Amino acid sequence: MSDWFYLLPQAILCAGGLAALGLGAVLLRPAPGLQLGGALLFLAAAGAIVLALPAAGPVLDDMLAFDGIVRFYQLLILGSAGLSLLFASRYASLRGLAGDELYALVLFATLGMLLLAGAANWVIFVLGLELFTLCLYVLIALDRGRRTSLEAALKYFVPGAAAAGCLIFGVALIYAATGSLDLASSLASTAAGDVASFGPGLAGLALILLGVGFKLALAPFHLWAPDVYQGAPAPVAAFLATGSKVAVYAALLRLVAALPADAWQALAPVFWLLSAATLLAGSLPALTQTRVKRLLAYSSVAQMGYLLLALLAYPAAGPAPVMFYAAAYVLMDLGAFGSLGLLSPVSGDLDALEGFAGLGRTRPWPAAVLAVSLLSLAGLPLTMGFVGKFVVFVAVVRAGYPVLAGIGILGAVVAAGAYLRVLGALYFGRPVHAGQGQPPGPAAYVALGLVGALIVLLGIVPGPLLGLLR
Amino acid sequence: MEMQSVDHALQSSPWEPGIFGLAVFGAVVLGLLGGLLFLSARLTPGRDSAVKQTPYECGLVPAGSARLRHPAGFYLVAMFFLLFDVEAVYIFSWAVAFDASPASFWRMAFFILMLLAGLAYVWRKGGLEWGLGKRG
Amino acid sequence: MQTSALVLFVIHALIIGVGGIMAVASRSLVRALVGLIMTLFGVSGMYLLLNAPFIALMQLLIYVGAVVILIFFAIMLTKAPAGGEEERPNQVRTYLLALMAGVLPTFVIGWVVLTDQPASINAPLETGLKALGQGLMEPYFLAFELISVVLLVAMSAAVILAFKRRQSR
Repeated sequence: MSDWFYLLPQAILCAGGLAALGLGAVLLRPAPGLQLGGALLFLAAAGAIVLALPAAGPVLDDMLAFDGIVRFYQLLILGSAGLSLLFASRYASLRGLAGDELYALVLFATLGMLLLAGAANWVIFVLGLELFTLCLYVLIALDRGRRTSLEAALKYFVPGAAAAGCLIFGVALIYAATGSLDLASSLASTAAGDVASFGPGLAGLALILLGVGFKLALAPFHLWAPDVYQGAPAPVAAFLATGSKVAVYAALLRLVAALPADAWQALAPVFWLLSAATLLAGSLPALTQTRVKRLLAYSSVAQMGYLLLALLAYPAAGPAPVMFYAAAYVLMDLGAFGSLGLLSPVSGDLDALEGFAGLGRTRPWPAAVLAVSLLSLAGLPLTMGFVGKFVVFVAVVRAGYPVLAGIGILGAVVAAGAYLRVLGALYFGRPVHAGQGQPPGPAAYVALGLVGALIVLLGIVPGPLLGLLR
Repeated sequence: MEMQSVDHALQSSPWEPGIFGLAVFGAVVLGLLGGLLFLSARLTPGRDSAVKQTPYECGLVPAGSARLRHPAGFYLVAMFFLLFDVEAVYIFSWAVAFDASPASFWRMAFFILMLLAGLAYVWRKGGLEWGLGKRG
Repeated sequence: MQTSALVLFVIHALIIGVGGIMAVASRSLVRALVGLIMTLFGVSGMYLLLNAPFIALMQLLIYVGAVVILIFFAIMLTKAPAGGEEERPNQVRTYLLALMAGVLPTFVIGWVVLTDQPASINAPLETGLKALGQGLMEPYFLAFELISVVLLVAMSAAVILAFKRRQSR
């Protein structure tokens, strides 16, 4: 099989982005249905090809990797993009944001994420990361009429640019130390014994970790997250919180897998500290937070901590926990941010806790999916979040980090209280103003149904998926 | 011990910046600059007058403030200039390495076509129009 | 020859350092920009010293030629007062934090690079323009095409952000 087939999903997404831009340039105001349908078609085509491609070693002059893990993550990314678009289409057209740029930028961002998830070379790693970040800057500022949207974009852009600088410097140091831009072989030759390459290689890795940590909103670099998630339009926040994070985790997983044992020993304490700090920094502020979008942002930070826990256990427990939790995370955050967008009135996204009062009765379906997502985020049984946390904690304890598991459980309990407050408002609060917000439309109902059903279904019968990942 | 081997290798290195030529060149530049500055400071009368303090010593009295608000179109044009400027790196190096093979040709064709698509989009969406155009 | 290379290195490092300090410490934005230009020229000189003339030229063309113009336009358009209103009263704490943020990474990276010196060649070899082009065509062709996608997205993003309101005609 020719190497070129492995470029097909990326080529399809690129063609899709170009088609969306072209449609907008020719018609100037294309129908939203046509754009949504077209974008979904391209995403589905890319997904079908990703499913059909056989696993292989690095292809295309060792630029791209494609194995079972990459395939899983790429499907997750494509699914996240598709669901975000389903949530976004009516939301955007009600607010006058549904231009060609929304669809084109989501497709191009997905292209960048796929490349990052499959990168086997540092150049592709950096380019994929920067491609989707560039798209996200604009997507966050999509609602240009609102100051908060612009502010959020700026708050993501300025530190993001600095983080990108760190990342590229780190790659340069690794190249200087090992003379290779190949991800696996450069990391493999950062081995101990070879003093000349070990020190600069570790310094480079530290800088790369810093840049990646910013994109993931890991603890010391998470300060942008609440402001950006709050200011971004809710479906964009859903895409930002799921697709981009999962793509970076896929790359991080391959990085950890390629590390030689002694480099991993040097880095494991760093991961330990990062995940402990991220868990605490994401969970503790949730206690006092009364703004739901910020609460979700902190929760997404905490979820990054759980994913990092699973990553820390990867050398001992294999990739199944981190992959399962990534899938759970994507569904939970898509459900939470997506249904929040659907519940919101056109004048601005719902944020304060009081705004959610009584929505469980007036808008039952979106509220139900929000409730399921929150329950899953809290880690209650019969949801995917519970199974995910369980699998992660077991793996972490087995890998020999019981203290971290304790911190994680503590964080989960603390954050659960905050989610329950929102649930209480949804179902037991007195409706402030009935009938706010618009009907979601059929596309969003499809997304709501899919997300809600999958969270519950995979929470009750996780066996098949877990078996597949093992 | 390491330093010695470095020194030894340097002596046989083909890379030798000619220090004497550089020194002469530097001295000439510095001398010329210093001389010109010295002469202009010594020989000019250096009398101040109101006319001399005006911006743009061209004899015309400026009208209005110099701080205008410029249309954002300027910035956009500068941005597009930057983006097309970046391409120079790739196109130059491609042109030098071009081996007349079809693969090489089509790879550059894709590159250029993507950029043309970008330009067409920008044009169609009004990115090249000045703020005072028909749309206003 | 090593001394002359060292002298040239120190000269360029001085240009870069002084320009950087000027860019950060200057009261007026335009002066800060001049400092930045100085730094960029110094970096270009460093590339020459590393025997990479093409990169040095591109540094001049792209950074000094275009990025600086872009920043200058930004200063012009935002109507910043020439007197430097944007500067806040000096706070010791700010300076200390800035110093820490600058010195700490420099120290760590410098220490690592000095103690674990990477194997290096004695004199820089020039990577020819032709080798660069061949690299872009053969192993790195995917990166090469990706760059065009990134540039396309940047172009459309600029027009989307700047003309969003007007385009809805």
